[in-house]
Amino acid sequence: MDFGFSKEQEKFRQEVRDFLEEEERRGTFKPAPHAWTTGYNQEFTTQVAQKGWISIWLPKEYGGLGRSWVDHCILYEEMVRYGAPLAIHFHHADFGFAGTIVRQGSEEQKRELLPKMLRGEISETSCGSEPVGSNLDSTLKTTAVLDGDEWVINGEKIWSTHAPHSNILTVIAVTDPQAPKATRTNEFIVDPTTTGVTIRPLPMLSGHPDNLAEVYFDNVRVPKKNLIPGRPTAEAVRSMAAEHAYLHRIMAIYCLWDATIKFVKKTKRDGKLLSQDPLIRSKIAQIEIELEIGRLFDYRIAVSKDKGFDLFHSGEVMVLKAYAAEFEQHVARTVMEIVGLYGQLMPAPELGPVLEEAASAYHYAKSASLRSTPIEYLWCRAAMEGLGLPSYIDPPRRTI
Amino acid sequence: MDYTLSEEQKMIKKTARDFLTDKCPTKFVREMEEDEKGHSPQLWQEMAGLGWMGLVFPEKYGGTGGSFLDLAVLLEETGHALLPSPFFSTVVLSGLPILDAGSEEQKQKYLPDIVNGKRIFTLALTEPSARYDAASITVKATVDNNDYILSGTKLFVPDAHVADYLLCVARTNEQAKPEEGLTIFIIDAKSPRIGYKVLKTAASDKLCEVTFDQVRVAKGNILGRLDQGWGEVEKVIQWAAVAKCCEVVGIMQRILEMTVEYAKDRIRWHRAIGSFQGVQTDCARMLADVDGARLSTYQTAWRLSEGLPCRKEVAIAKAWMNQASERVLSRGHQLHGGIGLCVEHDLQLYTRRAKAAQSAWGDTDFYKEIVAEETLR
Repeated sequence: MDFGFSKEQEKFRQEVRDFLEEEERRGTFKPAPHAWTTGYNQEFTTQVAQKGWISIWLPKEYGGLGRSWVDHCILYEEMVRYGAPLAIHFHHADFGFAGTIVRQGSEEQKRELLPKMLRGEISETSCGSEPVGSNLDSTLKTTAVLDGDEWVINGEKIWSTHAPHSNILTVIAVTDPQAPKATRTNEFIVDPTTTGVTIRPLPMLSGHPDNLAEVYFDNVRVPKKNLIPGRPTAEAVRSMAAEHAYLHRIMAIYCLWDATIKFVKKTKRDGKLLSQDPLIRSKIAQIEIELEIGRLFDYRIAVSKDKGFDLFHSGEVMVLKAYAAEFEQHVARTVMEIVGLYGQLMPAPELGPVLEEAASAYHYAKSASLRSTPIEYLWCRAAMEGLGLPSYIDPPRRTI
Repeated sequence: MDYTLSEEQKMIKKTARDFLTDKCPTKFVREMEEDEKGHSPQLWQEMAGLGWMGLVFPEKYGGTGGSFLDLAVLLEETGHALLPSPFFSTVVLSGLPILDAGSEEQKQKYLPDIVNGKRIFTLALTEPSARYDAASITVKATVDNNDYILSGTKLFVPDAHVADYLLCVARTNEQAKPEEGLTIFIIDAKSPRIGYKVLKTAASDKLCEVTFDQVRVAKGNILGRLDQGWGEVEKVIQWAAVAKCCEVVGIMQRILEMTVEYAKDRIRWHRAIGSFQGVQTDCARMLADVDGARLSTYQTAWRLSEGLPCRKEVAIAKAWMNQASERVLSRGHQLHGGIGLCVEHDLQLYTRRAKAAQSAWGDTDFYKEIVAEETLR
């Protein structure tokens, strides 16, 4: 057992910190909470690409650094701690699309897309969710029909994160409506400038105008080669389960929390520092406790992935996702309690950098329990996969 | 980074699990609740034979030179089995401070008898004030030639009634600051004028009231330095808190196992109740609580083993344990329904002990203040 980091890992962490401090100093970015998903900054992404830090887990044979998942955790722990703008590359590079291309892409897709991704030239959106149907229960409605050398896509997608900023849309569409769930759909790479694609931003209550969007496909013609040929194997699903575990999720709120700690250490109310107020000390302690537990959950997944453990049946991934979502919301609520009336201003410069976005961060955190998978489903999956409880969907009939 | 046990630790765990499954079924736990001693001397000797008492003591005292982490693995198993035994009192509360602060003479005198199971020890620290701070210690030790005379009352002392030796924390200097006037004395438990009363506790864990009525103790029985005992006591509180967390990880794990088993077997509306989403969510939350407790506890045990600073980690582990174990025991009872509230069902054996651990060696508020202090310095 070893809960510490190696010298190389500590060195890497320091390297990342030095890079971030330098970029911040140069004015490449201004720290902000949730900038990991709402901060679109091509210059920053290009700088990260030049360090080789986009998809550091990508195997060397694909041009990546082939580094460990613990290193990945370290990289993101620092990136989000500094409130860096990762939105252009993080979503696809480290969570989703890159993995899909490596495991399921054609040779041509790998050759063409992976180098571009590593150079920071790609920004991708996964178009999966729909207003009515779902892939979970085989009621997805968007279709793709082969017509000669092209697939024709029709349908409507919603919650397409980053779509207004992306140069690739990965669209999940039904290709064989009669087939069972595993073979009913395929994924397609779609250029958003293709005729028939309409992207409509969905402004969020957090104040972000185009982080989410609806995407309409009206007879969109896509070359045959844009079909992603492979299907996820059981191996891939297991691996994706962990990648989609939001390895960084616990850490996503670091930036806001660090700013809050700084705030209470220097702000006075009625002549007394907030950091001396027992009620505030209690709130801070509670978050610090939950943060450490979440951090241990996070690194556990990373270490398990590096060791090749089976995570699919362990429930650990689902626990992390659900826990992280609730933790993010708990932090957001606590921050709002501490900043008081200033939590109503958008922004509140009086609170200083990062913390001025407290209201926005609080509202954005509402999505934490909904992103990718609603939390209710996560807890149930943890119970079914991790504890072996029977399915709620089709429970075996039992007699007393 | 590695979250797995070593081969040796896996062996410790397996041996303990097999031994305790055989020797410490819940029937035995129930018998010991009614037993005057509260433990089986025969079982105690068997534990010594397995090397359990010697696990963390150096070979020169008869031990096997294991780490705190090795002990953590063992304690999770003794917790899992609800082992009724003065093991915690002897090894953690007494053996560790003797090893850390004792003179070579004291170590030679006491540690081998701990290792071979010949002697039982405990720590008499807490008093009717029911706190874990220096100022709350009022048992007085006044000097009289080459001896000290101790008077006062200790409360909530585990296993005092079966102990051969008591480590008693007493105030030797009333003029100094509270933290600078305390001394630890190693006292023969059979000394005249010591009174013992076993308290009736919810967890049936043999906590005692111990009264000292001008008890004479030789100067040579001071552990560590005169007036400088509090520093060592603070260390013991840390070790005890983490060790208690290890036991409770085992208890929580068992509560989770029993609850999941029940959820799979109990049938309503022609389906196992474990197929209802509400029940699933509760069980999954219990899993998160148990996992969080295990990881934070083992991280702290590892830091102690490596000699790394861990004041904040201890506080986090114990505070989380207190909160998480409360959720686990409450959900466990809720999901078991009425049967879980009955004495004849085993669940309550676990939940009563998990509850007792929450206030032992520092409650949640005590540790949250430490976390705040460490975060805001």
